[in-house]
Amino acid sequence: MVSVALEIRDGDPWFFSPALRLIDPADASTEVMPVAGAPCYIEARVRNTGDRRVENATVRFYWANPAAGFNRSTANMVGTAFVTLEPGGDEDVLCLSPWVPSPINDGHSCILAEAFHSSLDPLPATVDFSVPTDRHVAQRNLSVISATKMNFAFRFEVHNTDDRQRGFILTVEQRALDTALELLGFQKDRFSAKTQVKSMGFTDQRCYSEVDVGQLRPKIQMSLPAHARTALSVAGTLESDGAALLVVEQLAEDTGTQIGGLGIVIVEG
Amino acid sequence: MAVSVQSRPFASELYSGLALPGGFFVPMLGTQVINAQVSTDSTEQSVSVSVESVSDPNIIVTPNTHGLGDMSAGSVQTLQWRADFSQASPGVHRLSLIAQTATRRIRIIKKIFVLGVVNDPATGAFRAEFPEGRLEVRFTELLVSDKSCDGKNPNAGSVDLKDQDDIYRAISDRIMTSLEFNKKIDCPILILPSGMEIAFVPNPAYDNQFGPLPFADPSAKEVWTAIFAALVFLALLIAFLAGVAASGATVVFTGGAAAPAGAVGVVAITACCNPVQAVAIAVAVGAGVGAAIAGAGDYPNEPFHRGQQATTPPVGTVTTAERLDLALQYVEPIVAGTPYAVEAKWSYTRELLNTTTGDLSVLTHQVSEKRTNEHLLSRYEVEHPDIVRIRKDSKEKAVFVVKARFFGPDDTPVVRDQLFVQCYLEGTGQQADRWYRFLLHDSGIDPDSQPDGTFTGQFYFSEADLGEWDVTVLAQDVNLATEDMTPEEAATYVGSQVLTNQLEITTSGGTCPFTPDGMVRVIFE
Repeated sequence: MVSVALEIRDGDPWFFSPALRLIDPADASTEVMPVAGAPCYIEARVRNTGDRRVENATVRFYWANPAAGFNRSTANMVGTAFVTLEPGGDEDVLCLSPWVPSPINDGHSCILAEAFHSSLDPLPATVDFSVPTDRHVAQRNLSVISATKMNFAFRFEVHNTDDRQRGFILTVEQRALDTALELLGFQKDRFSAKTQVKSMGFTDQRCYSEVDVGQLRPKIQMSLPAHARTALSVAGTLESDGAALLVVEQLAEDTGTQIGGLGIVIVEG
Repeated sequence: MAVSVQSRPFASELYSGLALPGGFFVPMLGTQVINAQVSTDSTEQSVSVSVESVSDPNIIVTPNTHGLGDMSAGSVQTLQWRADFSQASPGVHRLSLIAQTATRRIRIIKKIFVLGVVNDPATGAFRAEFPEGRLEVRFTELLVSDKSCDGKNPNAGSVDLKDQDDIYRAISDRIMTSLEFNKKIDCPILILPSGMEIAFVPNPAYDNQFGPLPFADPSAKEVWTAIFAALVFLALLIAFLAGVAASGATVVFTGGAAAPAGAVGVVAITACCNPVQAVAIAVAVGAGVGAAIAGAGDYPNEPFHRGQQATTPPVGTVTTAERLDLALQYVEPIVAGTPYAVEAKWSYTRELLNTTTGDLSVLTHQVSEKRTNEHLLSRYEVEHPDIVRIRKDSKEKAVFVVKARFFGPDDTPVVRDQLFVQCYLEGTGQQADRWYRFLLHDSGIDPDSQPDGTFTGQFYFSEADLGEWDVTVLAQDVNLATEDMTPEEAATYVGSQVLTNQLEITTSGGTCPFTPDGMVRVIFE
């Protein structure tokens, strides 16, 4: 059967998609990191794995506050683009609507893109993005923060996108920095030295100075009402100069299904 | 770069097809057409062009991929996309096009200008905001053809709308009168601006002699003529749809601005049951706008620049506003593309603020002169078959090819990207009230043989089109300013001026003859 199958590649973990990039408006060949108040463009590499040419497929671009779990109603649309692809072809699609990272959370945000054709390859009829299981959608939820005297705190949100109260389990763990370098390759010199993280965990406090280190827990349970969101921080201490990658994952307590996640690269100084 | 778009993509209005002065997109007009002239400097195979993205997410483009096949070096083809600008933000935006050839993919990013126009009910002025400030235009006097019509040619006798409190409403009423009289618009409704008050308020006030150019590109004159064109388009559309309202439907005004006086009720602007006489609107509006520009002059000879030149602000002052009172008298018949004369009287006022003392003062400059239209063709030729034959009981359509050549004032051919050319087919007799429109290109892409100054287009007639059709070829010049030009260089390019002379407008009596370029009969074999 002749078909169109649009895909934006997921990463490993899935919310580290290397197919999403931020581009300098002054030079489309230059990749940038998000900076609060500084406009940039989002670009997505879209592939047609089907056996039929698709003309003018739609690609939508979104941003959200760093969050574990959000959907089409809580994400903010940046803009729309169109792409024409031969079977087996892939192209970089640029969203010309500039995205200006919000000063809230110092510009740390998650970006997401979805590619579809309304008649030949439509999106599933749901408000949820379902990134790990839906090839149309990819997410890049990776932030880079600086530690101060080895200490750090990163603020993010947890969303319950369901129509009912739900319980969640959040975990944070350190992973190999190499996992993130595919996304940060243009800045890899900055992350050449690696280090370990100690005393990491979740806290309600925004600033490290307010954190009771002894109360940091790398795994917590929480319950949120329907469509509610709450803010948390990941805090901790680096053992030495260098960079480290932490991955936060949000699991549904009832099913154990992973429904969200984000990555944080911490660099001393 | 092999495939490129040299000049700025420009707007054309959906019903008349007319390119707007300055190429501005105007939210008040809702859905418009984006026109981009795609060219190659080398031979390219299997070329296709599509829209990738627009920088304002409120501009809703209808995506379409244009397959051009092989393009030879020097080819230029105008490609079109519809887009809804009704919620667009005023200002400079960017459009990304993707040109795909047999060997590469090229991204082309070009600027487009969106001119936000609103009507101030308190003053009757139309106001346009842009990055450098705002321009307000109030029409104090308009000449509008009276209601009589000999069936095709409007009467030259005009109705003077001087001292009308609401000129917009007056235009609508005039068109409604025509509708009542003729049941549909038989003749072009002719509107000529004869008196205007124009004010430019810079933001911020400036301390040198010459103020900023709006959008840092077109001259201030072009901004107010764009407003005028948008005004007339809107008046015609709303008055026309008001005719629909009289029959029970309701009419709505889209475009993000307050509904002006004369709008009746509420309906989707696309819900139309009577055909708009596209060519009539196009030639009439084109002539009216052209006449206004002829009277005012092109940059740097237009009144604002000359007024700035003649009034040197004292040191220590800033210019807070500039005003222009402009009166035009059409002493010769207005025929697009010919050097007809217009008498212009204008008074320029520069309002100043002393930044130390806070004192206000003014400097003025007056001019009375006769100007001639500078957008010229010495002649043009249109060639097409007189008869198109369709095989009876066949579903096949029959092709109709139109060719046109245009010659500048020195009789040299005007070629390729210098013109925006359209052919209008207007049904007569049994085909009355039907019309078609298509572009002509000098591109070397089929049906055009080579980019040599012959503009070619084709249309396919079907059995439903049997009968006679008037053929009118409308050519407008193109703003060829490129992004590497200084604002002053770019402002010397106007663009969108109608050059073909099917319509002659006089204000001295008789009729204003409208002469199509030809006629074609569609018959069975």
